[in-house]
Amino acid sequence: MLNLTKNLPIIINKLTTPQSQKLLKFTSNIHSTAGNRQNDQNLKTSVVPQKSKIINPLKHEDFFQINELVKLEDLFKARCHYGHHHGLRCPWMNEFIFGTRITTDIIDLDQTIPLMKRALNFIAHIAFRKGVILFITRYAQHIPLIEQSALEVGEYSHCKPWRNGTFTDSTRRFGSVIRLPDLCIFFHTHEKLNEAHGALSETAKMLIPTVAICDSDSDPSQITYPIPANDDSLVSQQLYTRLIKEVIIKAKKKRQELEEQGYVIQYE
Amino acid sequence: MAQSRINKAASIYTRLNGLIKSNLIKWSDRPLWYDIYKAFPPQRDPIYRSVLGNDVVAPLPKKLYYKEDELRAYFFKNISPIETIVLNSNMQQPNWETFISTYYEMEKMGLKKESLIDATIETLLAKGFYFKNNLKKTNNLIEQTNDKNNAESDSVKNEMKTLEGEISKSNLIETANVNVSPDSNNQKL
Amino acid sequence: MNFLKLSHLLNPLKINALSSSLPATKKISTTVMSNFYLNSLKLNAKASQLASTTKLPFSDADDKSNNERAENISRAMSYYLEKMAERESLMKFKTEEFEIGKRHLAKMMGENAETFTQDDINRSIEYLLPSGLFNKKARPFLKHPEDYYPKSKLAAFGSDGRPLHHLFYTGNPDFYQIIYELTQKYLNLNRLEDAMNLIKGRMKTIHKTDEADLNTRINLTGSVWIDRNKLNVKFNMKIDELSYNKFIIMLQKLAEHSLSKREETFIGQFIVPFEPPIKLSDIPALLKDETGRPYQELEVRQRTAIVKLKLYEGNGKIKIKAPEGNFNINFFDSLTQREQLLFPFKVVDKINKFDIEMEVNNGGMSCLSKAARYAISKALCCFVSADSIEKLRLAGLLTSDSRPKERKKPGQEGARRRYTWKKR
Repeated sequence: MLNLTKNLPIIINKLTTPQSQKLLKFTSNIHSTAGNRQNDQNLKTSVVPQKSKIINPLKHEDFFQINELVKLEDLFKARCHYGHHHGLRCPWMNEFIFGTRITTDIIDLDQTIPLMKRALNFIAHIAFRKGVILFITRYAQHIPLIEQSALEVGEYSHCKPWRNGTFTDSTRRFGSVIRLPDLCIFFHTHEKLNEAHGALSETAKMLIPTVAICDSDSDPSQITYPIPANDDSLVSQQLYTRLIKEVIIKAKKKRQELEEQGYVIQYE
Repeated sequence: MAQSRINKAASIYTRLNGLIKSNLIKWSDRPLWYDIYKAFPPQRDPIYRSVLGNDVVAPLPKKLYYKEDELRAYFFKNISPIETIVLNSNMQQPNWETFISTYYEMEKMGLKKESLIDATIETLLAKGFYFKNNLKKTNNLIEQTNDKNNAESDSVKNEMKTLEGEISKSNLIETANVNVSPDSNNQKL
Repeated sequence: MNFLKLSHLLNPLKINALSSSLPATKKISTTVMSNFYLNSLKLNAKASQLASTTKLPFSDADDKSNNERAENISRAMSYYLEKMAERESLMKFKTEEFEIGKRHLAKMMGENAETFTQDDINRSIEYLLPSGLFNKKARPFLKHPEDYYPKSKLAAFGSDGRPLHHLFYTGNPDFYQIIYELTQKYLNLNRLEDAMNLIKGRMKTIHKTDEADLNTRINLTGSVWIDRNKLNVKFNMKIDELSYNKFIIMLQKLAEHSLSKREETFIGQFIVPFEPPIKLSDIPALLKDETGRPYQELEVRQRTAIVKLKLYEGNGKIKIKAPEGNFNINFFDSLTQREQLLFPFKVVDKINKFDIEMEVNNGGMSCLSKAARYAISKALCCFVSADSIEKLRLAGLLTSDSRPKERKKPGQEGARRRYTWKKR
């Protein structure tokens, strides 16, 4: 394959038929995977009409190329399919569960992948529009990881005990009018064992959308973009933080690039 | 921002829509996520559900069982009890796994179902396989061959013991002199 | 000067005057709208006014990128700016008032108003309006408004409303930042330790008493953890006792790590040198008798009891001078009270090597014996070595019992005791 791609640019010049243009796109993908990013970018910018210089990212189906990021094998290796004991199951999670193997629920990763892509796409669009993203968890083992990843991306984290009224009574809590987050990402939906996180109801009240990783024991019904997956093991948390970090950075970079090139971003 | 805080009545999107329709929020003041939500709506409207309400709960997920489970159960009940597995060490394939794999091999050869298990045990014994003989229901076949194997192994063991005594002395000296290099250690771990 | 202080408070924040000048939003029925929304509308209108007049205290805003829904986003910032403007006008008004008040006061006292300092103000107020109020904060005062109005905080967010700190939403970012750093440092040390153990070829963690690794662990002898009040002052934050205790546990864990010496500067922020209650330099020198015998003199008061003690080197004689007459150890009836007197000597292992002369006044018996014990052990410090003083301190003999007498309650016989009650 690699040898082929090296020779391809010479062939491309000769091809002019519509079939050959498909090939051209195909080769551009190969280039990008091989690490030749410059060619990739030039091709992408050539697709956008340069006359009007108006862009609406919502009209693209996959503006941030998220479909390539999420892979079944990664999820399986990171133990994302492990659920809890079947006695702990929330009945609303029934549809996302593949089956119970000797009292342990196994989550259906085939359903997880499209949901995860949808959620990541939403996160990317929020980051692209410079929204405030808040990372939330109360699972002691994951707190350093999640706080660190939020800092790396330039976003915010709340991994400390939740005080009621942080969102609903924010002016009194913080001493002035503040900007509430535009998106909350829950890496764990429980605050204590069998007790939903206090922020869940507050986000719903304050019209803040949520993305949450829902294990078999958590209630996905009020969460805007639920991702049915294992939320307890560190390896799977590392995977989620990696994906979300990647997506946010990608979106922010894209925004910067488009602005430098003089594009006007419109949503209507 | 003006908002209705009745979070259990409807999803955030429909509530926001209502506020916009009734002019409580200007179109230009709508939150960031509104357009994105409209373009990429979630799979299901995020409305609060209660088990006591009218919402229908999805059927219970099925229980997962495989053919190997039956074989394993048969193995533990009738042939040999379960052994402890040390996860830390690079142990060989456990007893029952070799049993299952040979069973499938025999099945491919086209033997009848009733004679399959006996055939697998025979082949394993022929290979010199050792089964723990703690159960009452063991096959006669196993008992006989196990006795033979034991008798052989006892004589071998006695020889080994005498050898071990000599080896251990020399080993002690050797291990003390060895300087463990960092690279070799890394490879192991 | 109470009226001066009151006049400061009488002026409200002038919000009413400001809001009346705003474009009218009263036409919209208030029953439908929440008050909050109305306020935010006002804020937006004000922000546009303010933006033309005031400049932002920072410049991280790029206006081009924030064009979309700029009004919505900068709401937090505009509110902050408005508050700042309000405060500025208030402070201006108050300082003018203060200057006038100061001049009046100087005139009353017949002094020069130009050279009238804050000390002069305090002195003259104490003279003109003497107050016996127990709480000093409740007494009349005249101060510059900057001294007693709460200080304005710097904005915790940028002009686009995005908070500046990544832990802003926790409500206590300063404290949680320290904890965040602490955990990250601990995890890094763990990683380092693992790597080092791999090289050394051992998988077990280094044992605490491993002498070879003592050099890599921080040495905390002769120091204690910073207490909560000092910590709050040092880092300018407010933490409750519970989270402080958790924080100290975490610090302890980091300090006990086998490689904690690498984080010496970080841990050093939270360490205070240990100060013993009695310093060797503070102990008074021995006095000498007419015959040249060394002795020490002390007076100790506890509750109502007064004990005047003279401690001589000798062979165990005890003289107690009470209002009723002269006694020896028999002055104290119960054995426990007699043991109290001897206990300091027992700790230092010097029974029958000192003579005691005491003058005793007022107080109950147990209170007297306790005061005597404290006096004796304090006086003993002048005679014995530093090691013995440490022994006395560890036995708790060098701390005085500062508890006052519990008051009698109405309807009761004493502090706790009730009147005897018979049904019939």
